[in-house]
Amino acid sequence: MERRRTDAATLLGVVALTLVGWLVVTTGLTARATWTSENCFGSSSDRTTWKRADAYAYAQPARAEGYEWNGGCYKLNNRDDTEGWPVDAEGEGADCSGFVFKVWALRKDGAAGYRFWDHEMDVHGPYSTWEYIDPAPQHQFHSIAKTYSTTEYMDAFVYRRSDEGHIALIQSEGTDGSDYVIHARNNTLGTLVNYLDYRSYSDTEGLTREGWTPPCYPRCSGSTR
Amino acid sequence: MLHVAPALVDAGADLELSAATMCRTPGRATCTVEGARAWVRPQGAAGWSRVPGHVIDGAYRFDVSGTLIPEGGFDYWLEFLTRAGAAEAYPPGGAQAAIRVLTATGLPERAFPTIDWNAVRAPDGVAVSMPYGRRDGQVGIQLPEGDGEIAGHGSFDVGPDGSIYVDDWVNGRIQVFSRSGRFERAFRSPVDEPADLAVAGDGSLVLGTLGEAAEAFELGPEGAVIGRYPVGYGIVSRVAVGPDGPKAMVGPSQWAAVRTVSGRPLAPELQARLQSAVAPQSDGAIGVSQSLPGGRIAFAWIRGDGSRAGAVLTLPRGVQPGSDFFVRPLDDGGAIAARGVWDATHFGVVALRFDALGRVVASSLLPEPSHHQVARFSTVRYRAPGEVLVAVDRGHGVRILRFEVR
Repeated sequence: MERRRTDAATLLGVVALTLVGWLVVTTGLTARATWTSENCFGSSSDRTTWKRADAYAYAQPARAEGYEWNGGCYKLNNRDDTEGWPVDAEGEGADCSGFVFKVWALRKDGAAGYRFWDHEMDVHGPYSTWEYIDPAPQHQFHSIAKTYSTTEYMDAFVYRRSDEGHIALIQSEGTDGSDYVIHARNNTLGTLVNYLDYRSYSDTEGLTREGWTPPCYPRCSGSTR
Repeated sequence: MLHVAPALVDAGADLELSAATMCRTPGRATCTVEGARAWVRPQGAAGWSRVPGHVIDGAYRFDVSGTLIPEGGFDYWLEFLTRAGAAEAYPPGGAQAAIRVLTATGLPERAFPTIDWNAVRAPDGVAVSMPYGRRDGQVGIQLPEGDGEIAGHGSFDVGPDGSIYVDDWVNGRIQVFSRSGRFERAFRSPVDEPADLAVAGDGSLVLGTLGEAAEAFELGPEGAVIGRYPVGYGIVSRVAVGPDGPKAMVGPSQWAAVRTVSGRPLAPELQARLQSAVAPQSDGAIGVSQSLPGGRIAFAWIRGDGSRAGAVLTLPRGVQPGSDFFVRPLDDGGAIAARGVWDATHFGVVALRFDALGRVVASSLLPEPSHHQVARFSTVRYRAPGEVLVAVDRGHGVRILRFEVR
């Protein structure tokens, strides 16, 4: 009885393994290689400072590198490696909210401080435009007025509607409700600089990161900007 | 280089210019700017005055003294010295391509009409209604939920007979609608990205991709590509076409010419030499509006006799100047202007009818234009003899609304 059961179990096991092997061969269900799995090997580390100039410098190489909904990995080779791929196909680039998360060096746990994320690390962060448009008290960013006298470069404009949302960083302030912005725009246009009037949209909010390191650091003498 | 140039300024008043460099690899010697200066030449002066630049908020600021700004205006160009020892000029070409700035001197000062955000005017009709879709008369598609991005149209413009041309980039075509809004025809677009679109007086077209490393395409009335022109500098956000050919807006009040002869691209330095502050209109008419300090906006245009007309209007308290959509001179010496205005929670387009003396004889607040049209500064257009067209979003498509301005 025991033997017969063993023989039957062995037979069932062979059949099962054969089926699994067939499935793997025909559908590639296991360990499918994706662009991110083959290209995104970056890491992250804590930083003691993060100036607007650091954020600016971090953002620039992402230009022309692509866009990926819910993504976060850039391979810095001056081109979109997954241009034309479908939305959310584990391709190159961040989406708009993931781009801001990395450029602002935010932490995943929402704590204060700075976390540097390599461009080549596939991380989106916990924030969507829903969180950016309506920050909770513990978030390391808060809403600000949209006037030119209030905003500075590397602050953001965010809007959120029922069907869509977007967040873009100020690359350089403009005039008449418009600015040069740098943003992960969409799957068609990728990550780029545009001159756009986000500031003047009726439903746009201004947004800034908490705790920027002052530009004068480490030689500040009373200045906090 | 990211620069905001003024088209009109106050004579005798101090002026702040700003410019930010843009480099993919900050930190490299060729990218690191160690000094900057503006070279300013008042109208009528023989030499250039040097104005040093200083860094504020990541950009270079140049404080131009009012003593360098006479009533006739001034020319300027910017120079950036890199750690690698190079001197980079902006616009490309430096003094040979200096930016000309005029003043608002002589324009009467008046109050901007009162703005009631709750009194948005109802349209006089719908010029074109386009559901999302791929069939004739439809435009764009809605991308899958989750991407959060509706892909509508790129831009639209008005043809010489009042027909409406739509850049339906999602479906790779330009669609043409009759003056009454009926679909008439479509032809292939050479551009597979969202683009701005402008229609010339002879029915030919210009398409321009937007952003960095942009290109402008010149098309015949039936869509045949006549020329393809790389834009040599700046961030393109708009295109226009006048009797002397297509131009690309490479920054505020900076319209670079992309060719002088059809089909032959110009080098960046030549594009800059032919740069102008004002967008060309298809028949050569000239009009512009420009914000000034103190919540004021200058409106100026050239009348049929060649003289300048306009006014400087002071906005109501708390209202901010928005986009300059157009200032269109009219045969009676007056003009129709469409100007964006906004505050913390509102945005609208004010349509203004000026008489030949620059007095506002009619005004109305029009709705916020489409957020989905990619070419943002072309969401509002003029259609002769007296209509303002505004592209707006509706649930499952785009409507171009028609407002008569008398």
